[in-house]
Amino acid sequence: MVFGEGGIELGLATWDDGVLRAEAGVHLVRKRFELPLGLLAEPRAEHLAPQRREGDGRTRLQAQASREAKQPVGQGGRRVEAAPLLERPEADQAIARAAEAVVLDQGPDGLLELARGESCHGSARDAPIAPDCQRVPWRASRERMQTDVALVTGASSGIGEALARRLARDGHALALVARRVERLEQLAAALRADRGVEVHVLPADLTASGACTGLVAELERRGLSVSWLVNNAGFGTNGKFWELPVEREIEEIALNVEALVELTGRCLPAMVARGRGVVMNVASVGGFVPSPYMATYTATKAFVLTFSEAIAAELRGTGVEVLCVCPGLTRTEFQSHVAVDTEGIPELAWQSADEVADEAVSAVGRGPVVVTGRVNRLMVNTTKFIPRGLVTRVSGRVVRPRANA
Amino acid sequence: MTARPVTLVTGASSGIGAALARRIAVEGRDLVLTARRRDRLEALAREITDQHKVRVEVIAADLARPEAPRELVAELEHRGLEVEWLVNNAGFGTGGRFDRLPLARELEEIRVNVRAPVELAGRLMPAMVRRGRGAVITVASIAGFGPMAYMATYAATKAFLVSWSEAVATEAAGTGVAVLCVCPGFTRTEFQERAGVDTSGIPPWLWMSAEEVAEETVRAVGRQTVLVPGMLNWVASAGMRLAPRSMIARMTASANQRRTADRSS
Repeated sequence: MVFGEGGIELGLATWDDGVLRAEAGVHLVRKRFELPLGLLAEPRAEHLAPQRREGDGRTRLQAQASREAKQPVGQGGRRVEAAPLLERPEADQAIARAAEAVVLDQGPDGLLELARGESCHGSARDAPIAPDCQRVPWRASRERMQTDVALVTGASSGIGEALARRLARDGHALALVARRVERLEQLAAALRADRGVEVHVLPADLTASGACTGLVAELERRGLSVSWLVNNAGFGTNGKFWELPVEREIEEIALNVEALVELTGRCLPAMVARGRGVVMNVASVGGFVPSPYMATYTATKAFVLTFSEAIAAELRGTGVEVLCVCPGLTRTEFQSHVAVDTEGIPELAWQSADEVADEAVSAVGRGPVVVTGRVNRLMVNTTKFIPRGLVTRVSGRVVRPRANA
Repeated sequence: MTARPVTLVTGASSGIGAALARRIAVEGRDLVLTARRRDRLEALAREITDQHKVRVEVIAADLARPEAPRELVAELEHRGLEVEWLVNNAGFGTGGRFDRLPLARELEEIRVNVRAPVELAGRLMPAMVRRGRGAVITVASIAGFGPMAYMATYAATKAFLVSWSEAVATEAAGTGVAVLCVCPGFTRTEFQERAGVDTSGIPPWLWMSAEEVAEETVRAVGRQTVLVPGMLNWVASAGMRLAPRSMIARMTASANQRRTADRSS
């Protein structure tokens, strides 16, 4: 019998051939309520076996009604596997309540001792155990229950690092991705200490083929589900297109475009299924205005802008928010990497990475695009009404490489 | 042996690519046709050599493979051919809600529509600039002027090409190499069928033939950077650039939702 399907909201479950399935993704106040859901639907379920199904991006809990002859309460123990637990004491109590028992103790091997019987009352440890009370060992899996994380790519410096700090301040658990593992570890240690959030470090070079698949598999292995996907990783090359090494241009497309689309494609189905999630893609004001001497870079950002706006329109009403962040000149390591001469640019035009991150996070849910900074907004709104050829030539002056200046 | 100048046309087996190949042959330029379907390329090559006094060579290649552009350029060198005009025409579109489309196909779309043209231009342009003549002609789409819901990846690849061409054209000013981005609107080809878009509701006067697009393209080489063939398309493209981008996304969402509904649900 099917009670519900599809939307994966609270209380959707299916019953067929004696198997109770409660779909994952019932979240309230950033906690999962998988286990109580399964038990409430079938309070006499004696086996609770977590079953992770891969493929559709969701985790399901399978609670199977015991097919073994049920032993009456008071006759010996039974080993029951509980679902993976996020917070042990709370989950232990949930199991105990459902089994109409009390928690006696938690054994060294992770076994949970429950007591059932008429004379067992009160809180577990200080209550005397009556002789007719039976110890029922339950084994709570040591596997971690799925944790919601904000996945930030390119988190080792610049806007990515600022976004990670800002999200940690908001209490998000984080998964940080970049190539430089030491810098990620440093940042992770600081965020764990200062903000008390769970931080996972996932070193990866997203320009490598298969890197996104590997990253998603690692998230899965660690039991992390992505509630915020922050596609920030990207780099720019600077110079006349035909003088730049073509391999580097291709890497730029692989990172700025292909990895972004692939991670979005791999994370979105689960977000849509759960009816919530945030995809934040970091583009640039260059997405609005092509820049000579940064042709490939601004083109990748035009891609990200257009792509984000389109999927934002497609996903309206699904509960998933898509935001494209378009910063302008930001003080990061980016400028030293691309060798642009930035000396002549007035102070007013610059933003710090922290300012960009704050504007970006505050803009989630308020429309598909945020251009950070007043000067940048003014520029983007004005350029629309100026002939593109002129805009392109002017932006070429700004980003002209030092060597050719 | 001196290298022979040729025009390389990708995606030449049908549609705008085939029309461009025929039209460029009229200019007396020797051709190299590339696409996946060798039999169709060979048939087109025979047809063109029968009608025009040009040499036409065929190289079958699947530009969805990451190695394909490099191999194609190596094969051209091996045959002693020097690309004077590069026509980046190969491309395809997918239709449907992004999260429900097969991801592998979306990534192939980026490889064919974005990576291959950039890599071919990157490998062929240095010699063009050295010789002081050449052309990089890239076929984008009117869809490149704004976000298209239910064709998110396609429109984004075309927005990439428009932006990239505009920037490279400015860099290349004065080098003798022309950079042209062609943005056709609705053109009668196999494209719409392959993208899974129902076009029955689009009025006939909005359509152009591939031959009309090819004619305008060849005339525009060296004269302009972004060509929108057809007066109506040009007006539409100007409107798209001036309209709020979120409005375009919403309008395409309601229009394309119906057209792609049977494929994506």
